[in-house]
Amino acid sequence: MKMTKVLTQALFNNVKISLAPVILCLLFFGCEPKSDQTSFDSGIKKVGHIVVIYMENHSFDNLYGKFPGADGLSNATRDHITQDSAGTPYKYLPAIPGSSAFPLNMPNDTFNIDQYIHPDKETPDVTHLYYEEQIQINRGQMNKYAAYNDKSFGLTMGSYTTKALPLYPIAMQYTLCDNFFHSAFGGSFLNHHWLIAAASPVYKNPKDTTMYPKRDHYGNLVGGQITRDGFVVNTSYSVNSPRPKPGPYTYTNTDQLIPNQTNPTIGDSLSAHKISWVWYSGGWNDALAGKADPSFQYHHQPFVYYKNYADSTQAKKDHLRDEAEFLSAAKNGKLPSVSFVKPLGTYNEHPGYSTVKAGEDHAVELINAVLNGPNGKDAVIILTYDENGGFWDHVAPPKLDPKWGPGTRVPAIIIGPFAKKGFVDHTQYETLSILTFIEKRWGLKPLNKEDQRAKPLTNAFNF
Amino acid sequence: MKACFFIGLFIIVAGYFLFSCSRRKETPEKTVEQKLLMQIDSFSALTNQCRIEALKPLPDEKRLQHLFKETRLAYKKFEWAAEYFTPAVTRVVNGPPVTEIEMGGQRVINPEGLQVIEGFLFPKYNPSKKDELEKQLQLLQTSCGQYKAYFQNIAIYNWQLFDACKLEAFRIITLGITGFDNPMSLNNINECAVSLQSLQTVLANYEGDGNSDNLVGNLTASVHYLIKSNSFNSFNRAEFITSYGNKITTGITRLQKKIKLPVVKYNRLLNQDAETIFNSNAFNINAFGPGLPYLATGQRIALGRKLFFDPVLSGNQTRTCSSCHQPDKAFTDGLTKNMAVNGKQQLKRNTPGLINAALQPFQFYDERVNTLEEQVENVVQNKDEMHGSLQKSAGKLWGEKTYRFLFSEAYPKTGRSGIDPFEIMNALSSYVRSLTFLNSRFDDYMRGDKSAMSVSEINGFNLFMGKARCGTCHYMPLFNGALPPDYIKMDAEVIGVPGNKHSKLIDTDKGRFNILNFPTLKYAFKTPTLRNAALTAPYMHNGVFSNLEEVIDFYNKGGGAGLGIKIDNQTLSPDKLHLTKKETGELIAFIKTLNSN
Repeated sequence: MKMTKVLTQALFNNVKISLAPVILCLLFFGCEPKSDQTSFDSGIKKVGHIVVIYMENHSFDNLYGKFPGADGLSNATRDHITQDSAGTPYKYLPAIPGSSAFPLNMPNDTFNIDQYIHPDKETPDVTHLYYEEQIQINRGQMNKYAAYNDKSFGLTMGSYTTKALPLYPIAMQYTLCDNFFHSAFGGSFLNHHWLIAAASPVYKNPKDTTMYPKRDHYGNLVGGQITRDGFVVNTSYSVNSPRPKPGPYTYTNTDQLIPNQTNPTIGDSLSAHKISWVWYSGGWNDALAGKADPSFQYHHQPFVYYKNYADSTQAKKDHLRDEAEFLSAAKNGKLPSVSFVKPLGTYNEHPGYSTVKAGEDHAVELINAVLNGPNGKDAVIILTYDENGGFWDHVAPPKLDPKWGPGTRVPAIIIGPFAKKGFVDHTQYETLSILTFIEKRWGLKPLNKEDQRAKPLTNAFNF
Repeated sequence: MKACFFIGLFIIVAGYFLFSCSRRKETPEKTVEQKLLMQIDSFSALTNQCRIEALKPLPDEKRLQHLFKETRLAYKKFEWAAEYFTPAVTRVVNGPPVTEIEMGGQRVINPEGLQVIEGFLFPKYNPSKKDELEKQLQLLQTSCGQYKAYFQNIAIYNWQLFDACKLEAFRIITLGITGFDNPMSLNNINECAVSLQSLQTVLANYEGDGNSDNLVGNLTASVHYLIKSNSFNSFNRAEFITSYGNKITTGITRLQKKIKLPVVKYNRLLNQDAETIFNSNAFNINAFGPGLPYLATGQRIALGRKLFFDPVLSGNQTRTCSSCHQPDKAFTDGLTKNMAVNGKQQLKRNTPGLINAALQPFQFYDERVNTLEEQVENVVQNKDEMHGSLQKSAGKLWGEKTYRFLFSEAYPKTGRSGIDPFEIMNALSSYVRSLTFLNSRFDDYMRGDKSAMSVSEINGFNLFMGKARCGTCHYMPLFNGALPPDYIKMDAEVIGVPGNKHSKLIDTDKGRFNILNFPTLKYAFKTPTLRNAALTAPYMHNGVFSNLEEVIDFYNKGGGAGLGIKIDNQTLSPDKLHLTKKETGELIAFIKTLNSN
């Protein structure tokens, strides 16, 4: 029935329509799907290609807070919305110092970013770091996002006009997951590693101790790259190439480079079972050639950090490729069984250097390339966001692992011929659900207990 | 019974119609949104006509140029909304025809849109650019779709509408009348008229709400004035601003107050409540500062002034800020380049002035920092300039009773046990922020004192904003490179300054390229303010020109490229300006009116 509700609401919202076709629609779509579990276990074998499009930095409410039928902004309680500063609610959302991008007298509430900053314009970035996100969540109270956002303060409470998003028609057509959380607290670096390995990289006893976090004036641990027990949690660079030039915003000495990692990845599992896979990255070839696009993000390439894909290995050549090859493979029906697609910075939707418009237009292009290509008939496309990027969300994440997460809710859209149509899936998932879905499809063992626990998108398909 | 039924039915039907009619009455904002959509359609249709003509095997040059002018006019009808609500799409439509580098080099924006197209069509149609022309026209069509997607989905608030209209009026006064965005077709006077006509249509929706300042009447009169004076060179810009432009921005501000629209406040350099761009309080000296906890208070300014003249910040305790920034020389030093602190060699660049430095979103000739605080840190710790340490100075100052008291008073905090180096940076910056003087004879004139400038000086102003093209980079009224009306971007221009006065070789300093390694930024330098320029000779980043006559002569000949210096990325037109001796004199006379009182 949920599917029916979504469709009718959407039709009322978007199309002037007489009553008769609505009734017809109700009759047509009003049937309950068959038992999900039975169809999932056998049906998943029909999936020939899995494509993971990994976008950047938006919470669910930030993009889909007004999606019909989803757990969005209208369900947010005042307790979760009101942002707190050292025990006292802000009178106004804190403004961004030295910037004209954010009003000085915004009520302590959610607001529509489109009224202040158009989605085609880069907003300032929002703080999204390992320790800071845990403080922002504040044991599920969700009220420290503005206080622990020294990049753009009140901007965290903004949301976009859902129906104007370039991906909105696709979310309406297929399955939108509204209870999907990014797996590890913090930013892109850590979540990319969790996407492929369900684990955090390790660097025990680094020589450069400036990489450890510090305590702020409230006594909270903040910043840093490496935890005191040796896990790399915030942006750091690999000993392998490509890596940025040294500098104040990258690394100042080679002791700060992360040594090769040896824990298992999904790539290893797939290769061991001779299942084809590729990590496609926008701007990859240029970066390898030493002429990286200015927006190329070195820390969005997780396999680069692993010994099995280190410089000069055949596996690196075989499995780490340029996004241009993805488009060509999709068009020619030559997609590998599993594709991870990481758009170039300009097109990844990351506030600060990309835009919602540029990123989502690009994502639509990627999706259409698959659906319109020969592999579209048996493909499952999972589009999600590596993390919330510091943007507030009203749903408290489940408390599964106090050290790692999951973090704030992010959007995830399941697309393709097997995905339920016009459906909002309320099942609790997380980034690791993508891993378990891949593992389930090809009968691979979980990498560890973390991906073992995640639900493999069980309710999102009608096989 | 039957009659009752029909009467009942009649009441229901009549009630329904009455109800639906009353619902049909739209808010002014909704009317404006619909008008915008129609204007975008017209713009789209004209770009399509241009495209059809451009695609012909032998396009008609005159028709293409005519269609281009019409297309620009169609854009100008909704520029007020396009710039305000959809700035990134608008950059594609009417952005500058040069590559822009943003986000510390992470974002490169290639030149696109109407200004690029203008270069293909004027002064003559360039057939070799046919493919590029078609691509650009195609981009305009795509942009129309993006405009429509926005205005169809996002509701406009009334306060936004007023804000946007006022910013457009400022845009016309500061940029539109200079031919800033159509330097080849020079149809700018007509374009300004079209833009103002649109503001009139929008604001007329609120006329009945208490428009006693005759805003709509002033808009009508200004449109007539523009249409009547349609000539780029002879257009009297001073008269237009004082008799029309200022009245329009004042009218919008007052009407907004009168009808009690909500005020959403932004931290802007140009204060939202400024009635004209020339008001003494129009600019906010704290806009580019570190925020509320670090506003320039009287105590901080006084402390900063004391530090400014104290050698305590230099490594060898011999140099003060005032060693180079001398108050009696408008905070410059009169030298080509000052000496390094070791006294052995010259510094790399000419000493810039500090008056109105707070009104710039970037500091240094190469724009390497955003705030005055960072500027202070850079200079104090630069081994050639002061070779000091803010950390060590903080320790030393804490040991002195007077400074300890002054810092404690200026930055009150409980349990203070020392001085934060940032407080030194902020105190000095507060002092520099206090050196904001918009009180020249030019300002007096623009505020209504007609006797403040002579005829020759007014002629100079009109040349500055017109034929001499100075105002297309040194934007009035700050006369620096901060782009009005948002003042977020600041131009870095390549003008081809020679190494010495008679050299045909460019100065070796690569400017902004040293900070951001992009070829287009080679030899690019920040556009400095011309306020007090008459007091700050010698000129340019290397101090190569001794007086204003030499500077104007350089521009009159088309900058470095015009002088035959080999340079492939000059952003200044290499064409000669053809200024007469009299005109040069008038220009200099005008520049002298910019001296602070």
